[in-house]
Amino acid sequence: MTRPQLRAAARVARADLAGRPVQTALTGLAIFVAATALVVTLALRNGLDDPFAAAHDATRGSHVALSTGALTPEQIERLTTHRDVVASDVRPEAFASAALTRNPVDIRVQGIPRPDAAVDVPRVTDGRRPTAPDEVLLERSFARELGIGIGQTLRLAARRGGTDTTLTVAGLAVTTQQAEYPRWNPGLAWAPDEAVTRLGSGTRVAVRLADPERTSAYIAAIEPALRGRGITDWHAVRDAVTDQARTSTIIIGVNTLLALLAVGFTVATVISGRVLAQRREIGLLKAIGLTPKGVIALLVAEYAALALAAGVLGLVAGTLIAPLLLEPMASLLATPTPSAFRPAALLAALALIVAAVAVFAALPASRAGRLNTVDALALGRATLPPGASRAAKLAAALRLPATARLGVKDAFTSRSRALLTVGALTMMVITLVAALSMEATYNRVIEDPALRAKPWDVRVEPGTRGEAEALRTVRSQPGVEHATTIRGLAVTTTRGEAQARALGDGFERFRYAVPDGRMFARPGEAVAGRGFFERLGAEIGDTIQLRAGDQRFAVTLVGRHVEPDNDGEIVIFPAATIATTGEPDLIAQLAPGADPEQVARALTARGLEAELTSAEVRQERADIRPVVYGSSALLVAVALVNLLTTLLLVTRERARDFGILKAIGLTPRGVLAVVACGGAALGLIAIVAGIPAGVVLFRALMTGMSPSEGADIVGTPGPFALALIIPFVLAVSALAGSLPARGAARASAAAVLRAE
Amino acid sequence: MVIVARGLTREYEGGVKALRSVDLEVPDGEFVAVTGPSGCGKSTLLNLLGGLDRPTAGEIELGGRRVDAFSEAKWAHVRRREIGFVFQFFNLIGNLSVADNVELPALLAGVSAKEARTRRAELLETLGIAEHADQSPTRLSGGQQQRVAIARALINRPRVLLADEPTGNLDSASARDVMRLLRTMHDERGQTIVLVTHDARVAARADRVVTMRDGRIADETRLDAGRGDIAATVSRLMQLGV
Repeated sequence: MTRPQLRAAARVARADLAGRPVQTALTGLAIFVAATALVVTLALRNGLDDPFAAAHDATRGSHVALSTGALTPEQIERLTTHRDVVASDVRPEAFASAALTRNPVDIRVQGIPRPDAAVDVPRVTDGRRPTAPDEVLLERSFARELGIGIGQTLRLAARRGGTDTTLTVAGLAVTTQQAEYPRWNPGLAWAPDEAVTRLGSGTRVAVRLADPERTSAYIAAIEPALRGRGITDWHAVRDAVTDQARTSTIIIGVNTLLALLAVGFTVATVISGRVLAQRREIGLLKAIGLTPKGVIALLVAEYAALALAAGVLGLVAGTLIAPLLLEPMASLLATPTPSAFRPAALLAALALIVAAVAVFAALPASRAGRLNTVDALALGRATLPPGASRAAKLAAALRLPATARLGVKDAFTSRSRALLTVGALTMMVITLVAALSMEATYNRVIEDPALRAKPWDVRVEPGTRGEAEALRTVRSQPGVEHATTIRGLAVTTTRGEAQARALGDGFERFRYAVPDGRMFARPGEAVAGRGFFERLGAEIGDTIQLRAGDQRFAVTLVGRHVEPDNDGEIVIFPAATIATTGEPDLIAQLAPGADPEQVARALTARGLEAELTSAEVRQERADIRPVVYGSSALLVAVALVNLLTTLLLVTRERARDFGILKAIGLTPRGVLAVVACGGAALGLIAIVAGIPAGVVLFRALMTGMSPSEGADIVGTPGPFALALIIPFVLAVSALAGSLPARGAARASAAAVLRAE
Repeated sequence: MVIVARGLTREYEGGVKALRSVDLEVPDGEFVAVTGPSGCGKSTLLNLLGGLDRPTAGEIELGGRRVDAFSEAKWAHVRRREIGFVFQFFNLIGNLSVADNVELPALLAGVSAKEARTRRAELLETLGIAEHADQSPTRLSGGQQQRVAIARALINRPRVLLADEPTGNLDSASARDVMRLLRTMHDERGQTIVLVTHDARVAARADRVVTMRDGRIADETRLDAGRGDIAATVSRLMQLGV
């Protein structure tokens, strides 16, 4: 293009955008919303990408940590100069308790490492690092669980040999030293060294290894006197964090995938819809000498410029909104809040939006560019499709009132635009179904803990009591119906190590969810997760050889149970299969009508630590809700803008028809009804298509993202919940239709018809 | 009188006066042609009489009641039952069939579907386009489309038919057919018609010709028999400057 041609093109593009300010603003709004949704979605997905690994790297997490009493310099030397160690950190550590609830709460207080320390640097998320000797930094989940805020003072009671100390909370931080409180007890805090040494005289040594998988070798090399309960292997933290976040990760992943699809749909509908409506202008441009390629270039440039402007604003809005969703997600996954402000990702999002806009402008423009100029002009003026509307015929056959027939006809005047809008609305319905499915899935898992491979209501740590005494205590607790023991142990299979669980006597009462085969009924039988079967290439009915410690034994696999942990690589059998050793936990089922909270409190009061199975799922659901509903709200906004744009285009194109209808006696309210019926017709199709598609898609995505358990735990919303979608979508349609309808109702029939 | 307009004025934004204090009376059953050069205000007058536009000043009575201050919704109800419109560009809805186009005003007026169907069939038969009922109007010739528009305008048996250049977009044979139809409707059914045209041959079919210039009525001519010697009437109108 020559310079004057460029100038002429710029003038035409500017005039086109400025000539229809409302449409331009709406197109810009749609791109803005799409860009915002894209930034938020990409940020969420980025946070999902192995959240533990990201957090572990960000905090330079240790691979092995040893908490013990005072150490000699030689002992420290041996621990930190082992050949596998690449970095190490030694800090003072003390255990204290604080009277924060009715019972004293245990806290592990460590010396705060320098920000550039090589291992285990807590990442401050709220407030700041302690600067004064009487300040403390608290682990975030611990502070939140107990409702401790910045500025609050903590009176710490030292254990034997220490001095009580009062510290002021300066900030909150996240770490990968341990999983979330209260699942990982005690709570964690960091304070200046002098405050820690006042409280006690322990030491913590943490190391990073060249090969993170060589933790067992490293632990084996530690002198026997130091080996005990104070060693933390990073695998244990990872498994606890990942187990906790597994369902959430899948559900957020499903939702963000849907959001990306919706963004694509919005851009396609809005841009191609508007270009399709510009055929007359395209005819005029050709009439004054623009080549078909010139027409395409002009329109693409025009919309790309608009996309650039609206997209930049969308990036700003997305960066501002994302933390609202990222924060709860990070809390859910127990990771530092990822930043939405990542220039490379933002630039990529902008490029994606502009490219999508350019493509969806180019496709209809090239179609319109190929049209004969006279046809384009004629089409633009009258926009009369050649035949009578099938949609109108169908509406007439259904004996709908005249206004409804007209609305249905108008909504389907441009078939491609109607399809795209139905597509965008369907995406909205799918998202709503996905949100409801998420609720249904959580409800299912809460109601049936077997779906989390936890077929018990409460799990109890016997603590210092022996197995037999603890079991007696639990069984005698009013409200407890059945109780038995559960042991976790490592077993060796022909294809490497796996985890196993052994259930004590009375296991028949604790029925795992077994979709294939049956539950084990006697010693020597076992059920296993999908991962276990896949790893061994085994099938139900196979007898397999296992080794636990020095014991060799065989079990017959009689069923596949739903196993969310360890990728399903877990086998479960009755404890009587082998001579088990080691301290077990206790599991109990409550009598119908018993209050789980009350039973847990009573057991705690009797010196046992009791954890309710449903409580953790409830917490997880409460944490995930803002993320899922936030992204769903964003998708509803996307669909709303989409429908609004479509109806505006339709009413603008049908302005002449509305003029005619007014001339033959359609009232302004009738005009509103016509537009509303058009929106409702599109909405109804979206409902009919979206509800089954949503159920199927959610199921497929859950299965795809979590082959080991997705298909087994997925829930389907009930008919009443699904029925609620209908009024919701119709309300959204009515809301989207109200603006264009009012415009059409106000327009003067004389003016419209005179323009002919 | 079916229509009485007094001091009708329409001033557009920017101070352009399309109509300047026009007085007009149309008795029941009269066929009035409003004629004059482009921009003289004849279409504006017709739009005001049909409630498609609002006067800046003046009064309109329809069947003895003041309608100029009616809300848009009230006007819509008046148009449904008492006024039929025919436009130069037919203004049919392209993606509705001929039958649907014609039945639409009846359905909007609350006439039963069966009755609307009967009336439509009758009208299309009378107008000679019954065989096109199921077609899209876009497939018809200009003359046929205008007949569909006339059928649509008459389906609710309005007191007044307002026609804005109904032959302006037709070839001369089709224009003659359309005018013959309108005249028949007037003669046989006593249909009151107000027709805007700048064509003297079309105006010659009316009972009375109102000539407008610069937003005012400049002249009124009563034609005794447009049906008789058309050529003589046309030449008379030409002499009057129509």
